[in-house]
Amino acid sequence: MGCEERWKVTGSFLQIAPFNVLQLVVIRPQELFAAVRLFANWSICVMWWTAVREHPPLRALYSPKMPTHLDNEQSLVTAARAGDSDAFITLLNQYSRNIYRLGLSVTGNHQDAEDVLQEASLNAYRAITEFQGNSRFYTWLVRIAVNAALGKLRKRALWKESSLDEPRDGDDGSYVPMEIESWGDDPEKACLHNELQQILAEVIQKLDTKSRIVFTLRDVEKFTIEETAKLLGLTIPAVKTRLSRSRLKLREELTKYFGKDARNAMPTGHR
Amino acid sequence: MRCRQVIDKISEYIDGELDPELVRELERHLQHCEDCRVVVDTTRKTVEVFCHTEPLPLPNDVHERLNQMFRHSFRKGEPN
Repeated sequence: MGCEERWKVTGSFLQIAPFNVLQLVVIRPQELFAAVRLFANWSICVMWWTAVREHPPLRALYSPKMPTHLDNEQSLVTAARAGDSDAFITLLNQYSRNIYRLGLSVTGNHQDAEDVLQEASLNAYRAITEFQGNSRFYTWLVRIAVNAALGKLRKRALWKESSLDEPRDGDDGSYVPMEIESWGDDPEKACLHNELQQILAEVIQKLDTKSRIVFTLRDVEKFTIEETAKLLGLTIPAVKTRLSRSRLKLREELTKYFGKDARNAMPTGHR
Repeated sequence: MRCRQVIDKISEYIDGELDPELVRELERHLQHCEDCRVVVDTTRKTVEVFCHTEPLPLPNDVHERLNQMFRHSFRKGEPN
């Protein structure tokens, strides 16, 4: 078979093959460009996902964990404003455990937390006609609850504290961490939900009153720095300073429970 | 950036509110400082554990007393 005939055979084979083999081998410039672009996009996606997975910005944690909005919240608010007490109770039931936890966190005891819940609920019921819907119902209710809790503290003369606890200061007044130990399992995996709640309730009481309220509003009830400042009548820098100190102080306290060595030494009730 | 400056910036760093240039400096420091890495990591976990923990259900007796208070208020015809 001559050279020309062999080429004809090969050519006819390529034409009758299920797909054109040459198209797999010979890539046109525009196809190459498209492939490179696809690979670049894919790489960016992978890098972004890796970064987010390793260092998720905490602000992303806040919004989804806010107490769930009721689907029919707006109509319930309208009905409650028109005098429908059942609608008001439905709204209140959605948030009552958050208000109770806020009261407990701020006042430090269950009796006062219940008083805060009752007073805030009754005050909200009496004032519902004044609620204009400019904020979420929950935000409005928390504002009333914070006032009730501060009233409790004023009675106990605790709100007059003027400065943050300074647990351990360096020479220039900055915070110096003492417990430097990585944690073992995540706290959620390390103990039961009720035990974890008890530990968190214990350690948060180590903060001074104002810092406790700032931390609770920001990191427990998930209000923004600006909302927290507004609710408490503090400046934004003051909220940031208290929040930073509170987080570092609580980190240190929780390391006593969840540090790798601490887990083995922890009493069985908390293990 | 020194360890003390890192400690001062941790809160804003984990909130994602730190200036990008400071983030780069802080992360450069973290690459070679094991202690600061631990403090940053455990501070982040501290915030997460408080942030993720759902409130316990209202104790039954607290819930009942709240209902009683409202029933009492409604009977008295509290202004709405």
